[in-house]
Amino acid sequence: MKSFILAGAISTILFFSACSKSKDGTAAAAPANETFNPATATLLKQGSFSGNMSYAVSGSVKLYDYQGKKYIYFENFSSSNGPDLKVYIATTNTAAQFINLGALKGVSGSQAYVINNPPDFNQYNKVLIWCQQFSVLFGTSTIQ
Amino acid sequence: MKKLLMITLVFVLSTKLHAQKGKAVDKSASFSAAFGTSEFSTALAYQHLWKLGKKQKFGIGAGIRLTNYFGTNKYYTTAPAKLTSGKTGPGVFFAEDIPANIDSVLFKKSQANALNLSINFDYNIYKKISLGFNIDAIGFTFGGKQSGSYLGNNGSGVATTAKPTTFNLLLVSDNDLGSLNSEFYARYKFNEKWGAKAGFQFLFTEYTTITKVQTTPGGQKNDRFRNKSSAISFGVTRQL
Repeated sequence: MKSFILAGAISTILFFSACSKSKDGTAAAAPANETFNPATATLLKQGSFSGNMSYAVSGSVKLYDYQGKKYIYFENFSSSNGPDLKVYIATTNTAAQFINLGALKGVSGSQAYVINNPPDFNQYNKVLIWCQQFSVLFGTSTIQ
Repeated sequence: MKKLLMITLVFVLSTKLHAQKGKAVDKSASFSAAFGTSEFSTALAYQHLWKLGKKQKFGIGAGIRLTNYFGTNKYYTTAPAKLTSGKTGPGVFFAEDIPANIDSVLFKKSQANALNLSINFDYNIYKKISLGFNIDAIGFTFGGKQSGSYLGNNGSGVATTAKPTTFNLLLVSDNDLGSLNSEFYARYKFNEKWGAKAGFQFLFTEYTTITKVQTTPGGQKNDRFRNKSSAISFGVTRQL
């Protein structure tokens, strides 16, 4: 009876502890099924990525208008990999105010991000590769 | 709520009277630590149980507990029940969440210290082994300001600062206010004085941002954000 109760208690503890595990994923090597075609869009602003601290981020970043929608497009892009990487457009490199465009689609290759609620790009003129889970800047570009 | 408090009070008083006949009062202190993912907490507690029944196996009572919580890179989500489920009162327990109303604040570090009165239950399954449950009911929380990032549902975000919500009150589910701890445990008594316990802890911690950073699609503003953490706990107990 004792061992039965102990086994029950241990099972309960293990069951609940398993529920508390978090999921930290790194970005894919390259984006899949990129359909945005910059040749058909209007270029508004552009800049170049540079890495922060020991993180290597390079490539160009361009802001396009396509049929009234705004897109951020990375060309010849390459980045160090890390957990929970996001693409932000922000007012500062510290992400004081930002719009999250979603998870980084891949650490290399061309890729596009639609901006559903376009801000004032004179204020939101930074594009950040941002590790959200640990609040770390991987790379940044000023678009102008 | 008043009825619930009244029933609890009457029950505790009546059990106290009954227990006094048998002079069966169990007073103990405990110190435990709980470990979760990127977080841990410690709890220093005192409990006063009145033993019930002929064999006095079942104990009910009250206690006081100081819980210290430490977390890194933790998400705190929208706390008020009227936003998370659109309801208040007991119905919130069965209500579906409204995802569009649930935003989060990500804190690089979170640290809160909650001092609460608790409700305690204990059942002796053997002479040396008991199972128990306790839950914080009311108290207050103190702790320093922390900086974090508010992450809105629509993708917008802003840097913010927040401090632990001061007042704690157990209600029902998301109606709860502040930081509240609860624990299900098994205790083994080595001797008359000392024992050890292991269990499962469920802890709410809550922060209030300095400004109402969240505006829901319905236009409601919010500054309260909650983290729900579960962890395994281990501790020592001492009879007093």
